[in-house]
Amino acid sequence: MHEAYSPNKKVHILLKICKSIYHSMSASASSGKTIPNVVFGADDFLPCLTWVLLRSELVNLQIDTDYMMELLDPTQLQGEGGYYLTTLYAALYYISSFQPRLAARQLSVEAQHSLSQWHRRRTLHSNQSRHSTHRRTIRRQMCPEESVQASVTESSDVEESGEDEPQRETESDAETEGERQAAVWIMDGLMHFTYKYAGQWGKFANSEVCMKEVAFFIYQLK
Amino acid sequence: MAAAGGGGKSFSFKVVLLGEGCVGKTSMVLRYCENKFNDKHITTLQASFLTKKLNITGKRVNLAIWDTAGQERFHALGPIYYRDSNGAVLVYDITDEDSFQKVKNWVKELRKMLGNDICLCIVGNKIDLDKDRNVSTEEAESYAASVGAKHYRTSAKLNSGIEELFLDLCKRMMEAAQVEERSKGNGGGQSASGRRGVQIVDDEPQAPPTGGCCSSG
Repeated sequence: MHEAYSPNKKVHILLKICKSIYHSMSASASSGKTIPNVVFGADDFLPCLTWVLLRSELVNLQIDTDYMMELLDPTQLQGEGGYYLTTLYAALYYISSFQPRLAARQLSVEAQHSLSQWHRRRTLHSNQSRHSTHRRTIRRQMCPEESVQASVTESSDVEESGEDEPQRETESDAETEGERQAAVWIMDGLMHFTYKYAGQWGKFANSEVCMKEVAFFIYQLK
Repeated sequence: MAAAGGGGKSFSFKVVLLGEGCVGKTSMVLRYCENKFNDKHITTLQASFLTKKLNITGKRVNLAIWDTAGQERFHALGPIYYRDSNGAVLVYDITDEDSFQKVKNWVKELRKMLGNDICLCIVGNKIDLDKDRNVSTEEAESYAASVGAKHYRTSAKLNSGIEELFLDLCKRMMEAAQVEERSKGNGGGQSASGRRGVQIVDDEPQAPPTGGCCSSG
């Protein structure tokens, strides 16, 4: 979009982008064995667009948006182009005015839930690994008696090899809770993120995920 | 108001749909536009932005319907959508008292921001679920009357009341546009208040031609 010179062309590209977002929304909805041919309104589209923008790392977008809004023909602003430009602007506004503090307040239920899941997962794991000889060595070396629990929990980050087990736990825990769930944890220096949306589980692991992004996504799942 | 371009006898109106999530805004507008364009159903369009062409008493009317995200966290984005609107359709779910409270909030906000320029419709959707009703029709109607809005009862599921709602809204918007046009013609022009930069190029239908010095094309 940034390449295009005329505001018209930019809007044209924007419409194409929106169309492909709708496409992927429909595709994922129909793969999740929900009703075929779902038609999405702004309730669904705006969050998706916002998410795409966050993932896309487009730095020039704000200036392109302003450019289009200032220079586009007023009659076009009434039309479909105008609508999606407005939506784009709204999404950008939402991102830029996003307050972590505010989010933390609204997040709390999900965040606390995922944190408690995480805590349960970690402590459970540390109970198991307490039997390993390696672990015992560490324990002896570092903390002879009382503060065992803490050190074990901390060092279990290093020990973990497969992610299957904590994953499964998250699933079974979350299944009972409701439709949309998400959990974040750090393992092997990577941030892992598991989410359930529309009855399907997905996950990603990325060392470069910034906190804001993850925070937003959990928030969105609410 | 916002009638742009077109021939001498056409109106363009922007209508914004407001209301809490899950009250059926999208289904409603989809029902409305789908019935008309039954054959060439949504191929490129989705339900966020829909247009509809109408012919009311010989006048062409282009309706652009803007859907909004109703979730509470997007509430702050409202002004971005409803600026410059000619009409607003405020939808609540008759089984959900909270959604009616949200409508009241929207009314307050719209009146504060846009004054009386905007035609408001308060719509109780899902009347097919009348047995679970939590918002009484009398209450809603008296509230609507108290804020200068009209109240409608619809069901997107049964396709009842929706056609009437939009038709009535169009007529009211046309009247409002003509009133504004007249006041402009009389040299007032103040009511247009700068925010509405576009003026209507339109002839008076049957009302007495009072002014119209700067309007007729």
